[in-house]
Amino acid sequence: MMSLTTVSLTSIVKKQYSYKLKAYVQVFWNLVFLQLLAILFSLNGVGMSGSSSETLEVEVHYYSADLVAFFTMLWGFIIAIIITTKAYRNDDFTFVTNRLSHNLSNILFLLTASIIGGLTAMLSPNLLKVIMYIFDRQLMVASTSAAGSLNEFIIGICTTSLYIFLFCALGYLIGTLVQIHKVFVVLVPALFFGALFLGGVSGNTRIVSNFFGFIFTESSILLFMTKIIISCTLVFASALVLSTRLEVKQ
Amino acid sequence: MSVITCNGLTKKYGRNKALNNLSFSIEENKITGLIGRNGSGKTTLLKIIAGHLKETSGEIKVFSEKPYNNLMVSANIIFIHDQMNLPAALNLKEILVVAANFYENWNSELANRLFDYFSFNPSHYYQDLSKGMKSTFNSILGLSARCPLTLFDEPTTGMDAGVRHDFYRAMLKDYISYPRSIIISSHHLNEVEDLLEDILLIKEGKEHLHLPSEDFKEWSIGMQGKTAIINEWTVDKEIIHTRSIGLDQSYVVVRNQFSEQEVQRARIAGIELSPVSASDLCVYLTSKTEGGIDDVFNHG
Amino acid sequence: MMNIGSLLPILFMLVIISIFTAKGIRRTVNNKGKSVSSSWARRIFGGYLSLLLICTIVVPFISGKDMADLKKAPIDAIEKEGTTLFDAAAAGKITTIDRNFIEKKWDFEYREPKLNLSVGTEEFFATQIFVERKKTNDDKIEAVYYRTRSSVNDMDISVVINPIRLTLAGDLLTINNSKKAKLNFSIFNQIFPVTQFTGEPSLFQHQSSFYEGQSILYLRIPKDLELNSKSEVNIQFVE
Repeated sequence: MMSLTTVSLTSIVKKQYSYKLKAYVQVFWNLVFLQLLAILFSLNGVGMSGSSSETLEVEVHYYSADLVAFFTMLWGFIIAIIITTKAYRNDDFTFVTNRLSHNLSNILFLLTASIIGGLTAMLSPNLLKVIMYIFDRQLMVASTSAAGSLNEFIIGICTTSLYIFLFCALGYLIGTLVQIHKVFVVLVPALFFGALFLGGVSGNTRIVSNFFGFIFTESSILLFMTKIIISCTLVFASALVLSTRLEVKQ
Repeated sequence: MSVITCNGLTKKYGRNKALNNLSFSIEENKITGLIGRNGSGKTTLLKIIAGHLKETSGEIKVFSEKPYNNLMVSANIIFIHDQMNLPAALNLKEILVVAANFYENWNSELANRLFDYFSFNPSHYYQDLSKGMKSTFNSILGLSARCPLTLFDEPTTGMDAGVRHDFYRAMLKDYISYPRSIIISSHHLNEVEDLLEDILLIKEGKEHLHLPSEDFKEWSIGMQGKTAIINEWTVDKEIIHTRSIGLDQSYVVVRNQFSEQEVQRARIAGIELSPVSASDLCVYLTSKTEGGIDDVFNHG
Repeated sequence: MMNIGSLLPILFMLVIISIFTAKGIRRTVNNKGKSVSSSWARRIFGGYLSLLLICTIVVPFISGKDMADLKKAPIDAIEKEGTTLFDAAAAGKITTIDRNFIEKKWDFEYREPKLNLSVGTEEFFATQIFVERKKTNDDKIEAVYYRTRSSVNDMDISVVINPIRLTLAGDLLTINNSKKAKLNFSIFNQIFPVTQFTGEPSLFQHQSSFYEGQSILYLRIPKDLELNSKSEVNIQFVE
């Protein structure tokens, strides 16, 4: 008898991960597109304020790459859903896998994508500034902060990546739910909007906004990282458990 | 040593039983043909063996382990079928590289040679291939992986005759130099008959016959002669197939349990005896009625 | 309160998500549709990343060339300057004021016994006029225009503001507001995942602080010069 190969989970996860970096490369094209779109929208500025007296008229235009960061989070959500769909899911089963390795390699891939997304989101304000400089030179370009200190840059990459990763986790869970039963395609948005509406009607948007407020307004970095990491772990773990119920349907 | 054993295996889709209390065991290092009509459960069985589906009830063991969600089983099986998901973003060359990475026994030389022999272009993409070319590429994957258990589900779909012959020959040659357990399900039993060591015939989700292929060929015998005489001879036998020829002649297929003398007597009685090929036998065994399609035209 | 207006962005988000998810999903195994090939996608992404890096290098050279000219001017300090100026002027201690606050000086020869003062504009005239009578009649009128610092978002922008205009014609001294200066600013806020922790204004905080410095016109006139001013002109005599 030909001797059976024994494989370890880690080696398979590694192989799947490097395979996915090559095979799922389409998501990075989506990233470019969404970020460029966000930059386009950001050219309009996010606000304006001014003051006027007899001697001086001041107009201050605000610009921010917030929209890029936000679109990148949406992107994380989207690609996480995409990789739970049939064709991508079944890719793994053509080769060597089990549910656990499949999900772990997906999570690793999403983590990598989140970091890349965070990096590009942090660099995108520079593109915005250059574009504005080219087209609108008479404006004085001033920054509220010292031009991109290294500290802020590193904080930015970490926190933005974690935000994106959180959205990835949510997308992955929702995608998994939808694969289990199509009804969730309708159910999840309905629940989300339902919660918002009910909140709006009763003047109490607590449920949805609480979760987001919990994270978005956290001002201590350590606490923030802890909160997000725990949330991501919980969400991914749920998705993992749910996905064991999924069979490979062609 | 059995590479696959299954006992009372049942798979239900809603109310429909795709596999119904199926039991068999397959020895290692053999080429087994999995034969059956469309919808008889062949593909379902292969998917369960490969660990893609979970059985509803019953037991199945591959390499003495349950195959579903099993990393070891997955690493030692390759399942080739025409709905295979191959990554859309990678070209053919890159797919071969990925496969080499995953399968320990992968033979790159064989893969590359087959690749060139069938004139594939490394920079083309899988989804741009024609049906036949896709099957050909799939079969290159299946052969080069050299997995201890290799499953082929209708691997020759869309292939032209020349390529089909090449595939069978390649499979045989590589099997000889590198033995492994192969299960191949095919519609073209007449083509693969000579390759197969064993035949497992599935009917309506249950095993119907599981024999080495030589035994298959001798399992039944065809009798042709005047209808009256034929009826007399087959009154106590189980008729597998019957067909009328001309006005008063019939052709029947029955179990071959004739002794030498009985054969002689039958000849003297004017009955022509002829062997029944494995593929014909399979068709007869799995058809719904004894008369086959003729029944549609003969009602009454 | 939830209304349609705030729901729109969420709907827009949902639309984007749906479009991109639908585009990203591969329909079937055998789809003949064009999907982005790996080498092409890699090139596009590589190009984009290079673009971002180039911009990052270029930005320090193009941004805030004028920024260097603007020094920091915290509000509290400026406010103090204003009141100090006022008090000093009123108390006749104008000379204690920092020379830097002198924007413009005028010297006029004037022999007439009377001087009419008028503000030549209908607009509000913010500059407070202080008049000091000199000890002698030397037929000279000195006017000094003081102004403390002005700031936008704690940045000193005094340089751009023009001084008031004075014209002496016959016996009429006309005082006019300065030519209106216009200033256009672009301010870049850091993205919210960063400002969450650095405490800078972000997202919906688009408020700038504007502070215009106090200005006074200090006139030193000959001892016995008679000063007539229209009612709207606010003159404070210095002791």
